[in-house]
Amino acid sequence: MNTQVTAMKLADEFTWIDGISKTSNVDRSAVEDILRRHGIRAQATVPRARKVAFTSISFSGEKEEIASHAEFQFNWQGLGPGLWAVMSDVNNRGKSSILNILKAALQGDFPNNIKPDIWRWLSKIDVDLRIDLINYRVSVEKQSGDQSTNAGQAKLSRQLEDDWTTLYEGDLPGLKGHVEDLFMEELGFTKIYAVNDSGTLYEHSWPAVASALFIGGNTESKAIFGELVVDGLPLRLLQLYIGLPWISTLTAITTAKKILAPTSRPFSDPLVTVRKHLKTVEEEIAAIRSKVPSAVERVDLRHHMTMLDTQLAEKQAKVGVTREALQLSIEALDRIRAEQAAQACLVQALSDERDAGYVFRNLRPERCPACEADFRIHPVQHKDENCILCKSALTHTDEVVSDDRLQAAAHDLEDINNVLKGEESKVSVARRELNKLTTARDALSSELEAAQNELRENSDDSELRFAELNATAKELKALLGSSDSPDLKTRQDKAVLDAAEKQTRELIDGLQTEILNDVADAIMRLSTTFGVRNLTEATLNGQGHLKLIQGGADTSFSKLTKGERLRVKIAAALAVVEVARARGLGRHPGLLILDSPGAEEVVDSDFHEMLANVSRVAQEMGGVQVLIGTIYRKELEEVVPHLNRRHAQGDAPLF
Amino acid sequence: MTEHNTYPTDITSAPSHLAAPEFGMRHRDALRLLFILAGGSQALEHPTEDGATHLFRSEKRLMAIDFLVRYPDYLADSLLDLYETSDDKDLLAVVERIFANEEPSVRLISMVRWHFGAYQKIETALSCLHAYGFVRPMKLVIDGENKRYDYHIYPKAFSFLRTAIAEVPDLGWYENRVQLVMKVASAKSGSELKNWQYEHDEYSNTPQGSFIPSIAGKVKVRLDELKRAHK
Repeated sequence: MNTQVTAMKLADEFTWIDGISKTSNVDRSAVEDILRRHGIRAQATVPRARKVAFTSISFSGEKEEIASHAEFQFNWQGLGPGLWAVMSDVNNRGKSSILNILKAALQGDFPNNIKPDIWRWLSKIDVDLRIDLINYRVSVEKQSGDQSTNAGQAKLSRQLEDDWTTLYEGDLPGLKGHVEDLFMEELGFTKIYAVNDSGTLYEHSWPAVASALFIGGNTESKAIFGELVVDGLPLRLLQLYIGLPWISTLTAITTAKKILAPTSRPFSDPLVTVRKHLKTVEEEIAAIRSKVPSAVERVDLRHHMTMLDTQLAEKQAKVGVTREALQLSIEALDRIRAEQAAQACLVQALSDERDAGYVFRNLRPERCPACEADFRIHPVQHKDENCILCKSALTHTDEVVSDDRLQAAAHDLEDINNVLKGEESKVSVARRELNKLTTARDALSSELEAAQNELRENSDDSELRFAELNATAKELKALLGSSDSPDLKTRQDKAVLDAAEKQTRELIDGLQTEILNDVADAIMRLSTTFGVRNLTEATLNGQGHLKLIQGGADTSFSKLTKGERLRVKIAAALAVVEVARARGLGRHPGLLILDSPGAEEVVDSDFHEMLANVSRVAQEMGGVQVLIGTIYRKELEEVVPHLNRRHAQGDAPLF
Repeated sequence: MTEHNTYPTDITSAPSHLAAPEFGMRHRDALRLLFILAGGSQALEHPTEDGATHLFRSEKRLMAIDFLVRYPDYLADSLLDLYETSDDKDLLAVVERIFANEEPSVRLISMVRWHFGAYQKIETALSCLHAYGFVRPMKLVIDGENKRYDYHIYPKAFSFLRTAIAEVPDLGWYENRVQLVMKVASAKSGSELKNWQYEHDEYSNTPQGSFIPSIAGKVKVRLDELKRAHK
């Protein structure tokens, strides 16, 4: 592996811009300007990974079973990193429902895969999760007995110190967007853009990214990562989680290209009619411009909004940096507190030992501890300053009191207390700073929202018509195609973006091939361990498709049996975590949810290997949370700690 | 460091440490045992021939009471059990003080779990107490199916403890602590006390030869909830 050499080559931003300038024949400063205008930045390093873990799940409602109606509740607190399992002795006892509720909460999308009957019974759901050290809560309340998918109220909140701040409170369908924004911002992921057949730009966001964290439940899925095979998503998800350098830059370039030319399909007929229509539209736009003087004010307002938007982004970045510093300080504080408690305990023990020693040393034995002879009946010759038993000189009480060990320990405790005070004040300063920054950011955000409202409220009919015409004009221009009559600026932009894409792809290709090979090798190794037979070769191509040679024949992931697909999919999820860690670039949030990994005829020894590897990878990466839903098998005993299990025994349900 | 201290906020992530022998705390350990033997004994109807006036029943009970003295968090949990059945409001204040003084971490003297639960060899401490004429371990008592070791306590032990507290008032903590433990232990046999300890998953799941982990985090949550309900 020559990652270091490749990374050094990748890091050279100057050469990158130079290459674009040469390929596109546009001078360097113009290239820089165009890239800036399209929001494209050279990003040779990837932001650090953030860890996501569930901390609790509780829900309640009323069951409507044939035999009876009864209230139920499920409550699982104290979740954290490590392996966790919901188990039952027989099927259909609620394992998948618990995992599906976690999935719906993570995606902010209820009821998602929750079965209709369970959704109907539910009345209250609370899921707590943690992104690094910040706690978040997703809550849903609805009427038990209501089966509709959009009824109910949802709430998303964040814990800042001891207070909970509401980030969203409202209708259930509104939750999804807020959860999506939260995770994309916190985890620093960028949206993945695509264009459909009719040329409309659309995006894949958090639900697609998060889907790669859930395995099982849907063995019909033909995607090796996540749930969808379209738009090269498996590869994009792989790139995101592996944390390939420059990938954010490449994403920004391809997005800018798609926005610049929403459709590349040429339309040859009827161009004349279209141009004529465009001309009419543009005339009407000009007429409205001259008739509506408030348009000027609105332009000013838009400029103001752009400025606010920039300030908001800057403030948000500062909030991120300060929050990170605060988290580091809190972690240090926890470590010092643990050390302080241990030292205080030692000081107490030594102090008690000194006091007890003092009172005991004033005594003289009355009986021999070996033969129980009573010295009062069998007197022994001794001098007062010597021990009655061993005859050695006795320590003077005053010397005992000045105990060196106690003094040293007390001195250490004092030192630790001073360090603790310093760190506590650092944390409180960082907390105040974060509060100040978030208040300033929220104020900017409110100002921006007010400006948006003003724009919206002041729009009269002619403005609506104006907006409509503008959109029509844009669509018509797009229909005419970018190559039809592009102006100089668009042409130059396109040339620079094309060159930038070529240049960036060249930089990434070598490293990407290496990484894909590593992932494919790991997938083959793990799949074989999990019981997929006769695999001799595995390759991941540039589209993220897994090609295999099994029993001498060419095949692919989508052609495997359901059982094999499940195993390979688990292998792939672990392979990504493993390779990301080995390369030190990974941005995997450290969360995996496996639903029924032992299903589809997985034999005991393969299941054991699967669990052992899941446990190994989780331990190696550290701070990883893996939740498994499964039928109870004895192989779980060695791997999942007792305290981390929920087990419905016999015919009993989990809730 | 001779003391092992764990006061994890998240008990699930607390590592289970292997047991290591403690050195250099023999006076403290002997004195603590004497406070327990004296505080948990009953007066005999007639003094024995060699002058013993009190009897402490069963080594198993001694271990169980010692565990509650050494783990202030488990004691706090049992006091909360008592509060829930007796509604004695003062108990909440007592438990609150245990946490306010950080006793679950500062006063913790970790114990290792062996086959029959929390256990530590006490022969050395007992021989020391016997040599001074405070305590006499009795021979095995066979009472039906039960076998136990009892202890005779001599009047000298009580006067020694009084003098010790008068000379070093800080040692009074042990007397008060044993009195507090007896609130939950006086009506229970050694087996009953052990069974109560086994009801805690953290205790019963501790592998043999490892330190029994703290439950301070959990008990603090329980205390806070009871305080809220009490308001």
